[in-house]
Amino acid sequence: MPILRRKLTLEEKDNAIGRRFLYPALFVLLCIIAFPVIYSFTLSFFRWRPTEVGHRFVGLKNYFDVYKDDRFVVSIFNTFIYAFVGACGKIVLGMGLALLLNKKFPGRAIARTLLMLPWIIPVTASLTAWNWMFDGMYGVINIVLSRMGLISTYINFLGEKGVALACVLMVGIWMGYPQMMMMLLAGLQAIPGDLYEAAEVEGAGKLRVFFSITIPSLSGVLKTSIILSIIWTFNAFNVIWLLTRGGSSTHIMNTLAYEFSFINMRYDKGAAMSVTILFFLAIFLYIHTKMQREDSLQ
Amino acid sequence: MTLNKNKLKKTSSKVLFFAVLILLIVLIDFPIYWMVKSSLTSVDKMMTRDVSLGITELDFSSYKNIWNGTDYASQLKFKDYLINSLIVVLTSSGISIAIATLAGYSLSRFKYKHRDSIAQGILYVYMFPQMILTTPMLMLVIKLGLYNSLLSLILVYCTFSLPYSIWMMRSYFNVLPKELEEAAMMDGCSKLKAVWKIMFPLALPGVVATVTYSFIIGWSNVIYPLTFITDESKKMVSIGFLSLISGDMTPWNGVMAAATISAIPVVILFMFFQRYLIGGLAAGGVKS
Repeated sequence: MPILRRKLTLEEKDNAIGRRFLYPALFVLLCIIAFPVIYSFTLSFFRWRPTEVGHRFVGLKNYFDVYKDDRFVVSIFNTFIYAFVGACGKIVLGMGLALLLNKKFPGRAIARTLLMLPWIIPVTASLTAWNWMFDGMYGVINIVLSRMGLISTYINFLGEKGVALACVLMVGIWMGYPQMMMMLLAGLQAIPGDLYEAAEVEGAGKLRVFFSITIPSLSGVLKTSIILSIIWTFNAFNVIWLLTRGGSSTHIMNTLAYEFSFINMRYDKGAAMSVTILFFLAIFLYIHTKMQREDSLQ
Repeated sequence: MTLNKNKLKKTSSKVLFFAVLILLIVLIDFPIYWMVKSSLTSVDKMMTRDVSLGITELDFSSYKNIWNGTDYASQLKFKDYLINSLIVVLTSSGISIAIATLAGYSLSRFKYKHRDSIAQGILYVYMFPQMILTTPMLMLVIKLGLYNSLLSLILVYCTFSLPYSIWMMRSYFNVLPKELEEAAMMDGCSKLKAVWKIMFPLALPGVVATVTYSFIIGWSNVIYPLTFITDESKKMVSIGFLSLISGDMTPWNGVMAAATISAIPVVILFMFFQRYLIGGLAAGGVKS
């Protein structure tokens, strides 16, 4: 009998319609995630070269090929250094500049734009500029350092182990801090002013105010920015690829995967590397979800 | 006396504040300054260690070479790159904002099962490295016969700007009052019509922010144009001039001129819309 089928209320009907608005987006997102993940996962167990016809199942051979590569361990090490040191740098620099920009002063909008520039300028433009500045023959950094008497011979910044990684890290921080700065600035501006007034009445010092009011009020924003900047830095590709192409031991996992696939034309090996990257990424995402769940429980 | 002392203290802390700020700005923007400066330097002044940090000459020959494809830039089709980038970035931003507006509205206004987990999932897509998507996407593009076509880039560009656009639009709709669309619905508007006629215009600041964001991100994307396009006349401005770089033979003033031109559109766009974009960026990141 139709009595059992309750008539949908107007609101439920609405929600059912509203849900449909999501479908185009879900379709696109599922395509861009599900298909590549399944594809890479499958391909990683097959032997496949552009020059050969067909795929042949080889089990874990591609993975062994990847893990045997000398650069693999270096790339994992670099990825973690890059993700954590880079994220710390971005947060510290972003926080410092957000604190400066949080004050009211004439020319604040201009200062903000100038501090956003590293993020706005297209990456290839700024990275070629850095490349030119790092140049071992006529680069301005070498010229300035030697004029100041700090170095006696010119340094090949992007060609020396260790030095190259430090340079890449510095440029990565330079490019990534503006986003952190903007997120933290928005967080700072959301802190109610009377909190500071109360602290001032009680005669609290600046450092005291920073650590007992600013930081606790920002804790939510800070957590989000830290995890986001770790993940973004983990995902980096442009900075390393455009500065060193992974040379001088600067490969991170992403650039190594790119080299396997598109330089060595070993798509199968690149797929195995991709799955490895996904494994590490899943750990980060797990931590992120857990942190958010704890937040919502509080 | 004490009043004067206080005043002195205030002035000196102000001076210190501006000194620190200006020093940081100079250090941070130096690479961009150097890019512009080098682009205005003549060839013979380029390859010398006797440089001054100030701008000493205004030589536009590198811009002429890049723009007209003369001298070292003869294999470059710079005007084509600019047009290609404009076509791809504008079309994909348009498609992506249409989808993101609907999705953001849906996630913000309606209640249904798994809504919040879907929102969370969308954020995870945003954290996905493009590197992992590149090979499968390339194979798909080849299968569809879209290799070396702008259409392939338009489709792929939609995908990476979409997740964050959805989040930005969602947080915009979250702060818009509900009464407005209810009033519209009473007047007999359908849901879709209400979105289009009432919510979209109201959310225009959010739309502007989101489109600006997609434009900036798309304009500077590297990995997809690098792998999907080999045809010189189909290249994007973000990677087109990279072919000039060849070790010690690199015409650095030309490269810097090309880099400067490629940066101009996004800098102008940012200056126009920064008010909206900054609000949007903050909202997308903070409100989780």
